[in-house]
Amino acid sequence: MKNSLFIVASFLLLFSCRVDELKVEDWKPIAAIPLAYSNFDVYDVLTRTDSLDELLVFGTDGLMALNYKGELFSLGLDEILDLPDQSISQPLSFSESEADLIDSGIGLSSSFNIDTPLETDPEGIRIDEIVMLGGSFEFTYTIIQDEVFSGSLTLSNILDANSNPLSFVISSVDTEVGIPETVSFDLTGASILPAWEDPDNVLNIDFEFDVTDNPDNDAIEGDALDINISILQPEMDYIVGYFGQIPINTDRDSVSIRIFDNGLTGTFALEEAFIDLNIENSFGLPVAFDLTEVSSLNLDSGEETDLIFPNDLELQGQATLNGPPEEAVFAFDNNNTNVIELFEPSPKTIFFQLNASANPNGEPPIDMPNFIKHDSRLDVEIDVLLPLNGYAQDLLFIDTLSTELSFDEYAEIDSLEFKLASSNGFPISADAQILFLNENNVLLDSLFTHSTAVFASGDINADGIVENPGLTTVFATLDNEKAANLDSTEQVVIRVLANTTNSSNQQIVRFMEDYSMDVRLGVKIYGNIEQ
Amino acid sequence: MKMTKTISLLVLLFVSGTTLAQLNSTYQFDDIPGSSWLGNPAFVGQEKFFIGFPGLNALDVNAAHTGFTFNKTVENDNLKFNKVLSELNDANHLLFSTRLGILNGGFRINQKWHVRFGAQLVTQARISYSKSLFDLIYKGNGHPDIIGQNLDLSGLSFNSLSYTDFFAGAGTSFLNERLFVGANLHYLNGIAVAYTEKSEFSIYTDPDTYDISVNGDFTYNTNLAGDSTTFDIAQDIEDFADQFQDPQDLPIGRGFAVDLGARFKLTDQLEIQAAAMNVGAIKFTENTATYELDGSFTYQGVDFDDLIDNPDSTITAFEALGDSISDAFTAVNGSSDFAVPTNSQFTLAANYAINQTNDLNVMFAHQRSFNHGFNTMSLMYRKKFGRILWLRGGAQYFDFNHVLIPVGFQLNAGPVQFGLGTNNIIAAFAPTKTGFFTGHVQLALRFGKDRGRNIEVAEE
Repeated sequence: MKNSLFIVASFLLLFSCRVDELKVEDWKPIAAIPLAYSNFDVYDVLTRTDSLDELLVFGTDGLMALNYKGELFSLGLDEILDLPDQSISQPLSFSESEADLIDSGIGLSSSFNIDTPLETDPEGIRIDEIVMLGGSFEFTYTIIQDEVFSGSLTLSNILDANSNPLSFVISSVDTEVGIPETVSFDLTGASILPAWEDPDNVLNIDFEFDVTDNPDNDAIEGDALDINISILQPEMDYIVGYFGQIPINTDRDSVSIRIFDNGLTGTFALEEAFIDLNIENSFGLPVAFDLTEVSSLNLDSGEETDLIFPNDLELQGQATLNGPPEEAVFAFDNNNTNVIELFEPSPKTIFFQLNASANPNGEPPIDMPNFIKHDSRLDVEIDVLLPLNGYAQDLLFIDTLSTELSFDEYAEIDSLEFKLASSNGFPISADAQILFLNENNVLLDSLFTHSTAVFASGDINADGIVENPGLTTVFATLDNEKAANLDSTEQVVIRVLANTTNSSNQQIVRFMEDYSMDVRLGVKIYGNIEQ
Repeated sequence: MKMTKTISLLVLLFVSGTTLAQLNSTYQFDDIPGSSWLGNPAFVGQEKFFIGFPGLNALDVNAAHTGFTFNKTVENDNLKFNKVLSELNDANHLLFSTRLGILNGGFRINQKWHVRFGAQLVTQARISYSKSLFDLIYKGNGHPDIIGQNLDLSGLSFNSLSYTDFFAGAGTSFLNERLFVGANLHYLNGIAVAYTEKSEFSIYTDPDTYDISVNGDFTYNTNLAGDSTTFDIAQDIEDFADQFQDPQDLPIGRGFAVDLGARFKLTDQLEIQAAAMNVGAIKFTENTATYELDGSFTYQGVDFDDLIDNPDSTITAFEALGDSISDAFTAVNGSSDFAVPTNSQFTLAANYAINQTNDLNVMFAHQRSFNHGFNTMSLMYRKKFGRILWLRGGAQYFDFNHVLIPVGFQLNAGPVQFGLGTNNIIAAFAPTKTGFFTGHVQLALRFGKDRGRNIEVAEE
């Protein structure tokens, strides 16, 4: 085998000197490589540009619609009514004669009754019943004079789960003087049935006690016993009563129309549009809505459009305590508003200001009191539906990307010629330009010499439906000179101007479910491999 | 510049290529005992016994490139790619073979039978490419001459086979030495193989989309497989090289081949000769891997979603092209056995003895090289100067396309017999004008009465 290799090497050596002397002409191959491909259907195109919550087929003929959903506001019990922690204290004192009676061995028997208001937020609402979901009732007493105490405290307006009034015992047995003695009661399942003494909800406390002499202590005039009762961390399961005409104010909220995120100007004229306010109300009280503002705003152009809408949107409230929530839809469309005008300036945002008030008609009948459960909610969601049936004119989109370009690695490439070929089945065209800026936002170069049609719109029939796709082939060359120009690129600005077919004549087009677009990107690499 | 140089070197390798498997037409006159039956086993020696020099009883080295020659592609030390292109044939071959006789010997029985045996190490290779492949590489698939054209790359192949050959055979005569027949049986141990079993495919670049399509069938077998689960060719070769650290554990292929031949003297002067040489196959069962392109495959680039979601990965589109083409050649799961046919040779010749010291031989041959065949004609003349020096020379029309000038001599110095020759003397004095390089040498010792057919004539 070595002999064979020697012979082989000899033949190679025969020409080795010639190889060193050999010159070769420059090698200039042209490689054509497909870079990327895709068939974008209507879902690909619209969801990619829009990140839609949902893209819908609207109607039976396959017309597509953009759908934006969002929560305008959502309220619960805590944001309407609150039952705060509350506490009252009541000292018991001996008069001189009462002290003498105790020391004489006769003893003292007495009682008293206290009415105390139940604090609520807001104040002044009438409470017929509260059923508790949690919290505690605490009774604390402190014996100040070392006599023999016995007695009880009863709250007739607070019933335990067995409907018995809460009652607590006072005893000096095993109780140290001056040390508070506390008894807690879990309010879960308990009911509070305060007496309505306008404007207060009153709780009644009944206290009965006996005091007998402790021979080792002399009773004196003054404080003898401290009593304190507290309701701590109360949680309502539900509350029934009349809550008055409490205001329910909401912040100004908005919905983003993301298809216009990078849009600056242009007209987006639709044949129809729908805005639905979907309301689910599990509050058991009538609510009147005051929609103070619906407006669209193009942040770039500053163009603002107001929706003319009807007033007096009223809910009746959930009918029964454990029944289904009330559902209602307030719909705005061409029939009752100028809703399509809202979208014409290609707005990025639609603003809503919605206020509400409870019991707009005053106190309800006695057999139809207000109620709110712990899980009651008043939810208002917005649902914007834009059937893609209309025209778009001179919609200008601009996006800026921060990036750094470098072409040092491709020294043996003379130039690149990118080729974008499209068969556009959508009735919308796009002219594009890409600008390359340095760190000071100074223009270095552009992809095209002027804005170039990268996608031609499809041809449409009389119904605005595409019959033949628009075919476009675009070339963009990147040579060494341009590469050098772009070497200090820090920002790439993409500028796209979109128009639907024949938009200058306000031709109506329709975006159908079966639309698609073939896009092919390839590159020719012009090599220049020099000796 | 580095790439240009690399291409230039590759081109020059084609031009100056080392060795070849063109037909050795001088064997038809070969009276060296150790190789007289290489052209036809019906050639029988007349010595009582002979022995080839161990390690140097025979060495054939052949190399050729059928595509173009140095002088037609280089002008004033400038390599002209356009001239390379114009000189190429539709199908071009880089051919290589070596045969090293390790040991051989033989003896005569009853004046009628001649028995021989031996061992040799053989390496043969053929790399074939089409003109369109060079055109594609030189111009690129985006060139106006190429894009939109269906480029037939059929025949593109890489073949190499190394094996050891243990053989034994015999020849005898009938009809009062008018009819000679002979046969050899070879036991073959395949060491390394790369075998393009099928290569019928074309490539097309779409002028509108630049989509690159490959259509056809391609099957490549090798036993250079390392880890058969990865089918990484580079890793396979590395693993195979590692195996030589323990040559006793080399996974080898097994095979057999036969040589059959006959000569018939129509008259005292005219003899016809026929032979089928090295007809057999080697089966490889260990460390094997098969790569296939079956049907069609089109590369369209990467999905736009990938490009949009990861705009920094534009360069991966180029990598994806390589990956996709590589993936198109799917590896057949699991190791599959395959057989490689030996490179056989079929000859039909006529020998005319002009007088006692001059004879002519005309031969038509078909030589196989890894599923490809080359047809060749040759006309040889031999002149004997006494018993010691015989010269021979002539012309060979290889593949009916290339004219070669074979020359050689044979020296008979007592028991020592030495032969040296080439199939193309042009390579020796004008190497830039030919692509065919060959040399062969034989050395043997012979003992006993030599009644070789030609020597016998000389003695008369």
